[in-house]
Amino acid sequence: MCGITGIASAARVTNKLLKSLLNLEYRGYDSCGIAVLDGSGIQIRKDQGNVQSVSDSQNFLQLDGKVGIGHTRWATTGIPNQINAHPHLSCNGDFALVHNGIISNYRQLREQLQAGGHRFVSETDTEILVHLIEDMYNKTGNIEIALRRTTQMIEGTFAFAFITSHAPENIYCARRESPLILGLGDGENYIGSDHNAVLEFTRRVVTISDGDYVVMNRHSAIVKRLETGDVVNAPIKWVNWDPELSKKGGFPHYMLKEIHEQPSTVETVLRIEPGAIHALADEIHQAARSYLIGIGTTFYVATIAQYYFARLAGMFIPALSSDEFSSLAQIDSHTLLLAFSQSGETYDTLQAIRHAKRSNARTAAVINVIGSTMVDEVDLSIMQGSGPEICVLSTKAAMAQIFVAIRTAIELGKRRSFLSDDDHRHVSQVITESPAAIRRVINEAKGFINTIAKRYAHIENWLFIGRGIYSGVAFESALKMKEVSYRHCEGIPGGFMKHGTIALIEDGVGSLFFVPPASEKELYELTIANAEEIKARSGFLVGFGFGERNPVFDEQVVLPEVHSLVAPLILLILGQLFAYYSAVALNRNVDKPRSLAKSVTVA
Amino acid sequence: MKVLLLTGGRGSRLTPLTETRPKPLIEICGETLLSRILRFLSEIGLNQIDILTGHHGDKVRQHLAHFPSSDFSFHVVDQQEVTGVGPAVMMNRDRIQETEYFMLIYGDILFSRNMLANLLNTFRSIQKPVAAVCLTNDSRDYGNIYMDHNMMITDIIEKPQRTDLGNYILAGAFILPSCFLRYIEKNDGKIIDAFCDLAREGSFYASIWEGAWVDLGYPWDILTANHIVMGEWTESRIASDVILGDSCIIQGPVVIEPGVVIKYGTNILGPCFIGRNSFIGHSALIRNFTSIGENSVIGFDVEMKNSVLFKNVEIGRLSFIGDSIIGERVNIGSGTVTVNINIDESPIHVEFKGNDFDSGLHKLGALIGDRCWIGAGHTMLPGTKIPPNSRIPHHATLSRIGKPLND
Repeated sequence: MCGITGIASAARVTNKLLKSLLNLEYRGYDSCGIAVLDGSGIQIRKDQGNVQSVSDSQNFLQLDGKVGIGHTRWATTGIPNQINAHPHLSCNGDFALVHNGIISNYRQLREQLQAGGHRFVSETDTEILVHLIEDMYNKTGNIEIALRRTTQMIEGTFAFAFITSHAPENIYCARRESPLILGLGDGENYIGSDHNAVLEFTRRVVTISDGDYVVMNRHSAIVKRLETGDVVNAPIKWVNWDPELSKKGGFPHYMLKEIHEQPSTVETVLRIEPGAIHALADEIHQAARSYLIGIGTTFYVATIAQYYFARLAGMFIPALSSDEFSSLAQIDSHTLLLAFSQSGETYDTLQAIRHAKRSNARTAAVINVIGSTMVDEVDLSIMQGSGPEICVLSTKAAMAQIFVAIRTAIELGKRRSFLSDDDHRHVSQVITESPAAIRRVINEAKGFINTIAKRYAHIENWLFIGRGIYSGVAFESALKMKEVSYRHCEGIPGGFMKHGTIALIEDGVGSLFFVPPASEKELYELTIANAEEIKARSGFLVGFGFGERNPVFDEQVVLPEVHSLVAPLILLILGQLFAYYSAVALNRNVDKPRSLAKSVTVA
Repeated sequence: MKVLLLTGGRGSRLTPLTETRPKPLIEICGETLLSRILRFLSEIGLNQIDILTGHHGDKVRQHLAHFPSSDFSFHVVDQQEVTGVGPAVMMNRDRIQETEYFMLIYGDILFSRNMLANLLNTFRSIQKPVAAVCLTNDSRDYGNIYMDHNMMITDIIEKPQRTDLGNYILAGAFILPSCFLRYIEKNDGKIIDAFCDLAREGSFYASIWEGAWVDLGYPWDILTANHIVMGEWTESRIASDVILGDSCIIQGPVVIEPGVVIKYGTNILGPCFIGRNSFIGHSALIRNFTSIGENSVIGFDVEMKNSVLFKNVEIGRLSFIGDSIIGERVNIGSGTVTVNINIDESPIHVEFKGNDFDSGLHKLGALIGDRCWIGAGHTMLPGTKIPPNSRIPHHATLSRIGKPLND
């Protein structure tokens, strides 16, 4: 994924372009660049590196222009280096373009263009776009026609924006699949990959629909269909996210800030109007079969949700990874697909939704980002309202999604007469009180996690082990650990230990157990039995649990007992914190781990 | 912004080392805590420093005289019989009220890198009262801080009895409005209650410090402080005039100051610090986290590890000094062993004011006050404390006819 931005103004734009890029940096950060139009034409500055360092070395702020575009890159085609960084320039230097997406037929188009005399300098798919536009402009003398013809020739996904010396006041941009929004300011207009690009400047936002393009200058922005050129009436939305919320405040990392935000994001989920939750419960109730899908963290959200549906609604709803969905699922018009996606742009999940829709299945999704592609594509969307999540690793958004699932499961349990009125009241009460427990663990136990994480940061191989719903917690915590600390870490259901994994136990392998409260007697005893097995092989053991200390563990964090419905989520927070403090101890780039991007919008 | 630095505490738990000096004058790798704090303050452009002195205040004044007046403007006030942080702060009331905000720092803390810069940055971005906070494994000795996702402190539980609390604690550095004095007054000088009031009004914020931090409460905290300082080192610094004998081995980061002489066959396994003009005899083994103060003499074949020696210390040949802290001008005779572990590996206990105190440490050697003269051939049990100026005869030295000489 990459981030694109653009500003048309009456004043110098470089400062704002830089701010916008910094706010978009989590979308990709291996290289970046800007292009502006000044009196003499297009000026480009770009290089490999993060936004601030490239801006410093390339002196972004020296450029003088009132119209400009910017890009922060996460490489897909062509390695990250200065030449492959965006913006890309056409042969005669009249067009400069930035792009997010993948052009699948770029090799073929490149050959055609080269045959026609175009010279390419980079290895990117993007570069063909700017040459095509130039080519079409030379043939037609009309920029909009050149843009539309170009998009008709390319296959794949894109959100791109360009500036040209032929229309020095304007920015042109277009979208197919990759996200694009418009921000409307006061005598100044903006484009961006998402709200973070513009929130610092304006709250009036237009989501550009798939297949539309925009001609924008500082006075106006006109949205048109790519196919027909007809003007589209696009609604303006008021976004009330506080831009301060998008920032770190004084936290050392977004990840820690977002972990701290969980009590309030859960409270937000508990305030989602019941109508939406009831509608989702009805959908599941009426469907002949349902699937929960997600990928990466959201797959583990689905995995954990599975256990809540079993426990609260007595219903088995399989969790499938979005990328495997089409190979496994039985789909027809009586099928419901419930997807989880933070960004609403997740490629694999969108593909699964589209696959299901082709067989007339019903689709629903729990999504964080307003106006994202998935919101438009599913029959029923529930906005979780967690606010922007900047850290590439998902913490608060995943937690909020689990709570949407829990609320839905409670309603479904009532519909299926699995929960009596009393049960319903009781579990609703437990869930209502859960933010306090979450707040408590965040405010009382971080020191222990920090100490253990620092002390054992040298351990390179970890097994994270849990049983029942705690296996889901182990999977998700292991993913967090891998992503942010770069340590090898495997999430394992306790039952698997004897069936192979225990062969890994040796010096230098750490085992972390997610221990249920002793009130869940059977799970608790099975979990401790697993720990004993590892102990017997001289393995090193860490335990996260409740109530009493257990001598089997070499190190442990013991929390006050909580209700068994909430306990897995409390331990999930400890898993997040353990990954966080391990990464801090290892001096990792916490908010932007290597090779990762916030939302994966490509295959 | 004005700074108010508190140096007056008695440090009674830090005996024997604080019997002869105030805590802020404890030296870690050649720099006192006080100098270190002043260095960090000068890095962030704060040089108007009000200093409250108490216990051995004259020594603080002497120490401050070493700083050129062009670097800092000090205003030193003796807090005399006044005890407690709140009343001490109130003594400076008139000067604090001259400015809108002031920085308050406890002089007995040590942190890696510049925690104060972090504090000032947080303050600049939110323009509200702010406290540096850091994580500990046990909130019992301090106070547990509760905060929301905007880093607003919502509650402070002072010295909680619960053992299952380990979270952010107040790290001893604050930026406070001058009107904070009224809160102290209202709470009869109890500063924690004043902080709680501030928090309850929703106007007290945290500045998270993720670097290392220690407050010098117990003698072994000096070893922790030593770890923190050496943990920052990424390279070695050996003065050009250091004389290094043949077959010496130096590994890892070390700081060896001018005038040091190291004789044949000595191994120095860093991180280690050797202060100026010290002499290290033949074949010594100086293991990691050893800090030797200036003008010290280490005899032939001495082994040392994880220990802090203040200035002008002499260690006789064939001795072992491990996990120990040795005060200024101490002379230890040859063949002395500081035993640093119990046979059953149980935690080591130390006596404070007649009470037995569990240090929680599995390795701890001896704690020796300034100017002790200790004869040869002693075996010191783990957690041994020796008061300053003690004179301990040689251990069981035998006459030619087999009678102890000094019984």
